[in-house]
Amino acid sequence: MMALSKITTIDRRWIWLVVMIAFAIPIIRPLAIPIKVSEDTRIAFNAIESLPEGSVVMLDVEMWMRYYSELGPTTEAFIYHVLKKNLKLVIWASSPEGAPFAETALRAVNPENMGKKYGVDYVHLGYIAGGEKAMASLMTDIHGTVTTDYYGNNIKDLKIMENVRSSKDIKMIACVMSTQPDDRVRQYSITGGIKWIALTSGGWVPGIKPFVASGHVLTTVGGIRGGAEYELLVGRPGSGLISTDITSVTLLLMVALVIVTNIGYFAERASRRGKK
Amino acid sequence: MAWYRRPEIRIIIVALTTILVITDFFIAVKTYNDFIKQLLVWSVIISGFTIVLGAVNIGVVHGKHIIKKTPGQWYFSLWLIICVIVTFILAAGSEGIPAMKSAYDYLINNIHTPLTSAAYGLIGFYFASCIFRAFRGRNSYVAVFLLSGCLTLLLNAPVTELVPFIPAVGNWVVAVPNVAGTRGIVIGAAVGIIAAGLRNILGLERGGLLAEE
Amino acid sequence: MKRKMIVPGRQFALIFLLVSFAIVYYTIRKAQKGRVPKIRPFPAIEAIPEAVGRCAEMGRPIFAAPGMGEIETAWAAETISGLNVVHYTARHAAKAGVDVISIVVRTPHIPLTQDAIRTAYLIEGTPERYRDDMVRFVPYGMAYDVTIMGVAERERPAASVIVGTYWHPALYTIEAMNAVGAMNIGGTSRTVMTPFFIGGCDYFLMGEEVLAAGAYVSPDPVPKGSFEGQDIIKIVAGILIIIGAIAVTFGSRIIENILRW
Repeated sequence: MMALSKITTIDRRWIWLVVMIAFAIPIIRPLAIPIKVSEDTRIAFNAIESLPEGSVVMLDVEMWMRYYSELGPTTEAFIYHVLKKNLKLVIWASSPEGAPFAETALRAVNPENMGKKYGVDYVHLGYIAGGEKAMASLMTDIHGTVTTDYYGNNIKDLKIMENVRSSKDIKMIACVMSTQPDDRVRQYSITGGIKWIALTSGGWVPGIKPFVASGHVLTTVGGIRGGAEYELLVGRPGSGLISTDITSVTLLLMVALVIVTNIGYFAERASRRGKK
Repeated sequence: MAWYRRPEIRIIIVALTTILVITDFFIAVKTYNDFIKQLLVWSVIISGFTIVLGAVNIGVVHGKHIIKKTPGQWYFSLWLIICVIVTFILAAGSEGIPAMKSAYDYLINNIHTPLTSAAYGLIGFYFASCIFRAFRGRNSYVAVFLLSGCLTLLLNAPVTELVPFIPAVGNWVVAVPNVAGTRGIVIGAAVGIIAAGLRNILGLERGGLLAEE
Repeated sequence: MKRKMIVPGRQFALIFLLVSFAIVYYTIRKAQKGRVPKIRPFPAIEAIPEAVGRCAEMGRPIFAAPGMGEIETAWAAETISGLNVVHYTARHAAKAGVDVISIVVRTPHIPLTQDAIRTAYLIEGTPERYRDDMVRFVPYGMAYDVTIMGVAERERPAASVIVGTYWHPALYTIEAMNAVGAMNIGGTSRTVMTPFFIGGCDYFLMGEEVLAAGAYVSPDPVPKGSFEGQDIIKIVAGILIIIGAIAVTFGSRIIENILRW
């Protein structure tokens, strides 16, 4: 019991070493753990599949560059899917780093290689400051809210934007986000009348679920696992699928840490009671 | 006190704006709705200006360190100010000058992104040490949280698909008790906003501006 | 056909909003006339003087921040609560001769937090101790995460009070403060962070307690009166939910139709 109670005094740097080893093992020796596509991701995939050709899909990117390893695969798979289906894609960023995030995903997908043309099939409007105010403004008057795209082109000169003026012209919205969805529910779902897909980190899925249950959000595609599932569905295996091994190993390690620390804690309590 | 500094002016502006924007949600009169649309566009522009506040604060705080040559700090402050100025110049110039745009893109993609990703990687280690240090069943609150936390972690790990009951139980927990609890919090937050809106309209919401106290 | 002036589907919402306003107005007026509702004490708030005392004994500053949510969005109520707690902490700090360090991640919070802390020192009679650089702006993101680690290591606060809207950067704050032996008092109603606050803080507030704490520490009767009104509205919403759930169970969508009117 005394030996077990010493677990609680382990220096956190040993914990960090164990975590580092856990990250490294699946990179050095991939485990190829199979994954099953969840119902949530399938709903998102089917929603895009069901849109008629030429429909406009808006992608709202709120993420910061540091989250690219988690949500980059999902974003790339989504962009690839939308363009493959010959839908029109309008991208805007609701955070300053959302613009380079979207740009990085676009370059990874390389729409030109798919036969798509910038300004005709897709456009990147860049960062629009204002958060919820920007969303509200875009839902009512896109041309009034933003006049140039991310590359400095006047949006009036872009063919894709000729008939995209407000929420009435948009069939679907997807949001790459990692925050409370209230503002988007208010602006996209209620004001704009559009159910949207949340491409979000795994930890935020429980927070968005109530809005899925109420019908304001169509579905969630959560974290790196969701990205891997989406990659499987669109037939574009990428870093999402590669990362599922690391996800499995490290999450199991976290659970193991909880168990170990509680063993140590209760052993310490028992030995203190024993001393009394 | 100058007339433009009187608190009544601030209260009237805030109250009027709050009422106008709230009523726009309910009223379907095209002229009025168009006016509010324009007001929202103005507010987006104003939001951009608040960034200046941040820049001034950084300049003041770190400028003091540089001037006083605070030991162990002043060179970091100098480096920070240089980085802020260089990034600002590149970002501002990237709109019209292609060379500056490619320099800005290089800065974001090859310096900022790897650095922030590396720093973000620390969260995994901090998460692990926080779990190890704090997630002990010392009372019922923590015990419930660590159980539900473990379940959420297992749900997100693809390997647990191999254990049949984990996805089923996990999905039920996320879809039923979690939704119920989160809805309660969402309703509470929404009611808080309603009350804050009324306090704004009545001029009773001073936020942190307690100068009149 | 005459067009409706009120947007269809939002008529009930308008009525509910006006009734809510009336309730909150009534309870605010009641509080202003002296009938201030009682809010139960919170251990986390009661621990703030203890935290400040610890800082005074150790000769170290106290870290107090109002949260990360933008004050012009849905996070307004929590942020205002956080500002009230910062002001309360600063008042105790001013009395005890302890310096306050605050880091804000939203630019509109800079003048608000400066005012909250400056006013605290003014009220306690030590305005000369206040410095504008007690409040430092760092953009939200990795800049904040690494800054808080640096501030914790260099300035070694003996306590930290973080009440407001927090996301994952709070984890850095809690761990960094723990690493230097600081006492942690924290609270957020963001569900994703609640487990970390409960596990990592010595005293915590969760959910609605964060909003109530702001009213509890404020000397102004208005927040307390407003909170009573909010509680009444929540009870009304709860009754509607229960009636609606029973109605749907028996096959009636009456409440749903009323809400969608």
